[in-house]
Order: sequence, then C-alpha cells, then structure tokens
Amino acid sequence: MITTYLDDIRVGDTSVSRARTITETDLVQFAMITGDWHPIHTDKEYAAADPRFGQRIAHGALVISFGLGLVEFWPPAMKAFYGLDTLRFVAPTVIGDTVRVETEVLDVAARPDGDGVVTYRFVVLNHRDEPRCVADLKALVARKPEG
Amino acid sequence: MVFQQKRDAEGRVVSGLWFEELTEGLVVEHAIRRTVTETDNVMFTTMTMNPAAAHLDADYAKGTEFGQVLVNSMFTVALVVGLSVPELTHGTILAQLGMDDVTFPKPVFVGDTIRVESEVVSARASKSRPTQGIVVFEHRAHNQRDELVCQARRTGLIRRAPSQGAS
Repeated sequence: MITTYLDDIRVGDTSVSRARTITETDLVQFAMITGDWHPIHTDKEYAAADPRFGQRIAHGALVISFGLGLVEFWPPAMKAFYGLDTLRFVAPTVIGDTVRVETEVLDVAARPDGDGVVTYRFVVLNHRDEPRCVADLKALVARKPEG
Repeated sequence: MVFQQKRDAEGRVVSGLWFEELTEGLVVEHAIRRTVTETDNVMFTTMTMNPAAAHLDADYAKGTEFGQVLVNSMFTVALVVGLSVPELTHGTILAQLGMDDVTFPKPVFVGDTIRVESEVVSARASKSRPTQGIVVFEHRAHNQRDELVCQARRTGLIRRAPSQGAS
C-alpha cells in the first residue's frame, strides 16, 4: 500500500494485500486483549440464536485492525497513521473468512513541511470478493530524502 | 508419609535423568501427549511474525496438495522438545547446546495428537566441566496414525547426579 516515498504516489494507484483467515483463536484473543466480550463475538449459543447473524461474528475493530496488519507500510515512507473517515462495516466477517485488503489512492496533499497526507480507499474483502469493511484512510507520508 | 522424590543438590525436586543415567541406547517414551490445536498454530505463527499463507490462509491451503492448513513446523519441533522434558531433562539439564538433522517427514495438521520418544545417541563427560556431561538425544515424534512427523538430534549439557544427599 505505502511502498514508495510521497514523490512516487499518484491518485489512482492501487494495491492488493496478502490474505489471512479469521479463526476462532483470533476472536477469542481479540476479546481477551480488548476486554470486549460481547456475546455476539464469544458466545456460540447466543450468536446461533441471533436472527441477523446466526453465528459468532468478528469484532469490527478486529477486522479493521487485521486489515491494517495485512497491508504494507514501508517504514521509511510511512510516518504516521493519521486517521480513518467514513469507516463502515458493511457486512459481518465470520470465522473461516479469508480477508485481504484492496486500496486505491484518492488524494495526495503536499504539506509545507515537505511531507504529505495521502488518502486511500481502504476495503477489506473476504475470499468471495465481498467487501466487509470500507473506509477512507489517511496517512502521513514522507518525501524522498535529499541527495 | 512423605513421597520420596528425586532431588538435586539444593533440594529441588527434579524429574529428569542425570548424566550417569543417560546411557547410550536408552529409549524413553514420554507420557504426556498433546493434541495440536488451531490456537497453537495461529498463536505461534503470529507470535514469530511468519506470514506464510500455508499456516494462516485456509482458503489458500484448501487449494494445496494438503487441502488444509499446515501446522508451523517450528512449533512442532518446539512441542517435541517440550514433551520430552518431564522424564528426560527436567531439573537435570543446564543448557541446550544445539540441534542437528531436524526433519519433518510428514505434515502436522490441526487436531493431530503428537507423542514423543527419545533415545540417547551418545553421552560423554565434559572435558572442562567436571560436574556435567554432553548428551546427544534423538527425539522422534509420531502422530495418532503412527506416522513419523518430526525427528531431531539435540545436544544437551547435562548435570551429573549430586555427590551426596537423596539421589
């Protein structure tokens, strides 16, 4: 996703990340780490009785966090995670889904200090190519060093 | 009545074997077996920053010759050593010096149950450390279908039995 300095980033650039399968282990550990033990994520019987989902679903925060872990942030260029706008979980992600991220550069805005803010369309999809989580992501990206 | 347990020179309970007991050709079957779980594989793989699709991507793994996720073999070898500790080296090993000839003849899958046996390949006194010896083990791990899934030679610096006190 961020693999070059600001100078080489153009609106319309796209990327596809590697993929990872969401496991029961991931849901349990995420609940443990964050303390979010809502039964829709952790209680099989409760989730089975839920008319909307019928099974445990991944925490939205897990899905976006996994997405951030799947894309490449080349350290010399990636200066800061600036924020997310219009983050939406458009459909649930369930155990066994294999997710990947597809990105597209929407905007490149240079700053007086030399760095720039790049806005990406950030989409987490499952292995059936169904979008699960969609957001606009802003990152502070470094300009190529002098010399 | 106090159950008389094996102790080291400082009085700590040990369950491993002293250098003197580890004679060439000795085979020990380890009592504790372990079913490898999805948790084991996901945690170990992510803990060690290994992004290989074979371990974390079930959709990819479905299309491989194995048809399912492979358990990270570095976990397997760590499990094999761990399962050998209670009867072999608990309280009697000073340090692991190295491993050789580590092979994985068959894959390990989530749900497989691993058992381990160990054989003493060689045992010699340490030239520089009079209270220790150098022992080479061969660990052999089988799954529930009796297939050999991991074999490894491992060298340890092993303590001699304490000269006095309870053996």
